[in-house]
Amino acid sequence: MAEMLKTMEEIAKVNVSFPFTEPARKWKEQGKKIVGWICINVPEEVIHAAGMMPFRLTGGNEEISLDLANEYLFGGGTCSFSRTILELQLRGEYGFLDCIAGATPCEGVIRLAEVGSHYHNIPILPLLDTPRKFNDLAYKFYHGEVMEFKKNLENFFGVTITDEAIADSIALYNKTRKDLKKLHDLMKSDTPPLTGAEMLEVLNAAVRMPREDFNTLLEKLLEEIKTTGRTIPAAPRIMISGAVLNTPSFVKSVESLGVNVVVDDFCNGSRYWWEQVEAGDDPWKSLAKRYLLPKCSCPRINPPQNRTDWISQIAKDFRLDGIIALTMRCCAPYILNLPMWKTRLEDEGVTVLDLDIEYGGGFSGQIRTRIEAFVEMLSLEVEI
Amino acid sequence: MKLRKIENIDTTMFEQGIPIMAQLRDHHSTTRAETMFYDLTIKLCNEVMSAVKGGKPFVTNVMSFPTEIYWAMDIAGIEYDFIAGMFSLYMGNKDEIFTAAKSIGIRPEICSAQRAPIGWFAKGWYPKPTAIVNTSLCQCDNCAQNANIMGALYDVPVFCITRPYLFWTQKGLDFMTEEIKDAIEFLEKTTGHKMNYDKLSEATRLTKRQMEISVEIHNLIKTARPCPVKSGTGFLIHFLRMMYAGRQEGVDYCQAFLDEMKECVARGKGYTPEEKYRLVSCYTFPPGMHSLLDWMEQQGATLVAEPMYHYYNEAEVAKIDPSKPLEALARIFYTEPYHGFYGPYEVFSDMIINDAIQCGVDGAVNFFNTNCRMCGAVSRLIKDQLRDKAGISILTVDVDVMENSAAVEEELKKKLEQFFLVLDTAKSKKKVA
Repeated sequence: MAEMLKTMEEIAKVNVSFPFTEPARKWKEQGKKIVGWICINVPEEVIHAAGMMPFRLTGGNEEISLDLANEYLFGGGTCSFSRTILELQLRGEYGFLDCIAGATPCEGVIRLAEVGSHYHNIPILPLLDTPRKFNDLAYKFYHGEVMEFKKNLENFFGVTITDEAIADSIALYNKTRKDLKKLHDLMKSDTPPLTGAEMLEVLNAAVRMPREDFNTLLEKLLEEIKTTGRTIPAAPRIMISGAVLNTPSFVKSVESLGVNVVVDDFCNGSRYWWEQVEAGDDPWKSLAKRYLLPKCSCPRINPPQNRTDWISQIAKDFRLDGIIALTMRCCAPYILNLPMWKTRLEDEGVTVLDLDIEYGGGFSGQIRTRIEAFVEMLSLEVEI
Repeated sequence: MKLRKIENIDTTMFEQGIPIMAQLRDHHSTTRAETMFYDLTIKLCNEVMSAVKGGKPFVTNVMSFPTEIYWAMDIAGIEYDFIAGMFSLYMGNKDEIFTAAKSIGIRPEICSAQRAPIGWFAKGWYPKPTAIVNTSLCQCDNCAQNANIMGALYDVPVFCITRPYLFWTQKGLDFMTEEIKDAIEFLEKTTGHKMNYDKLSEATRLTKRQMEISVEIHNLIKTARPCPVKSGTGFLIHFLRMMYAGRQEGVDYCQAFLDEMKECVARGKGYTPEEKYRLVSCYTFPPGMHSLLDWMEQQGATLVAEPMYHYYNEAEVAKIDPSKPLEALARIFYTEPYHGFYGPYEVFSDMIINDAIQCGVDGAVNFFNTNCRMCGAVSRLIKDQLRDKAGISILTVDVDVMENSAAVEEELKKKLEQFFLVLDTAKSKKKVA
């Protein structure tokens, strides 16, 4: 077993007190504002440039009961991710947020925002209307949405976001993306420096603390990896795909069966950091373009070809032996997108396990049995 | 099973569905408009089969695609979710098609209306289209994506019209206009047929006329006592308007619907022997449950208001300008009340509340589709708002738009009976006060 990295201990500590993390608490103690955000189409840089801390709304480290949320957001059709966030809002656990910013990626998130605005007291800014395709028309439309978002944030908090501030914020967030890419490039090794569970701790922390502090931690982590030469023993290499996953314990359990999770396809994972904001004359246009995620599309985007190509490329770059596709119940975009790339990946020699799961769900019963069988099969293939 | 191109397409099942529409007409139609509905559906299916067999372009679409375009481009077309759903509902092959969809990974939590066509394609039963066009409806994930699966199964090109969340703003309107322009370009390329813009103007004029008649229908619903509309027919007029958008037959159908209402008003009679409970239906009554509707009418319950199908805004209809056909198509979209139910919650909750008040209803029923993430998800919010803003009691029942058994129907009757008692009590209290 590889020795624990010191920086990883610091990173894991950030996530322990979720949702009101220690860094968020310190930020608030300084009298500063925190803006919660839902969905990766919300440009965090705008919140940061307004002098606030962006904080991503997710579930915590384990599955929770959804009794309150189920009363207000019908569970037969709404995914457990949306209901988990609503549950935390209704319990008052997100009470430290000054307002919430969201987009319109899917029905679940739209209705989460709408229902939430009626039943809890955290103000919600008008949602960024996110087109379901990427072309010039959508890009132009989304630029308008990003500008509206800026105005809404300025009006709500009585602040001004200058072009200089947004440029600085873009540089800061691009630095994160660059370093996360460096970290993931290291995962391409036969003996990667981190486990998949550790990587998820890193990604969780990224959106739960001030970005400047996170970047410092990330640099430190990269340096520690370099100096210690820490490695994880070689094992079959897999990707976990899905809409969103925030529970490192789940990944840890998967890895305990004898595989290395070397990359993911979550909106809080690869899709979150993959694309840089390209430098251009107009930072707002650059933001609009980047936040439609033209390369590593969300499963909701039409046509689905870019996403299929992207996953196929990841499989090659990371030399994947298999993919576990975690299909969260009622996540229609993912359910309807999965068949579009699954066949192609299997044709390219990557085994795909399609698994039903609830957001935050544990690693037990049928899930464990199916993953065990999958890992066994992969191990045989790798030996052959 | 993998998502593979279907090699053997056999339309026998589709063709067997057509005479079933005739049987439905003969057994269930009690009004002239209903008879016309089935006849026109049969006509459209025959147009599709003639096109497929005669080598003419045939395009199939999800709900809310502006089908005026087909007429103006001389393309045969039909809505795949409507026709696959209708056929399976009455042909008894639901299990087979849902199993076929499941076998390629489409899980049961996907709305059965949008799963059904995937099953038809997976079985190879659906006629091969030249192209498939879909839309995000307004914000429906299923409508926005299921065409990709069907396109892959039949190896045909797909184009999706994506719509904004705030579709009625100028920005939303401009975006939709451009999207429609792109859809036409796509269809010109894939079918080889050119758009006739004069014909498109005429088609938008005819759709506008359908909407103007629909405004009259709604006004009559609001004022006439007893209700001159047969419960549950909102579903029929809606789908007929969608299928025959931009066509004279659609105008004729709407006119027949209105004329029959006027005849009812003149006779002073409605479809319910004694109108005891005037109800607003918040969502859609599950199609195919004819006997439940008949039973409700015997109990004196009438679905007076169906805002999803009838709540037109006259001022917005007037703004549709056929001389600007692309913009007119975008306006037609947001003027159609059905689409409001798949957009921001406030839009359709206002429609339900206002319609309930204007139609003087005694109560509300929400037959919500359990797998609908737009309407079903917010049933509690609808309930609270109806109570707080209009003082109206509501019965919320979960149903599926396609998968309802006799047991479900019995259960619904029990719930409705209890609800009628609640309404009786409320009426008695009102009288005393």
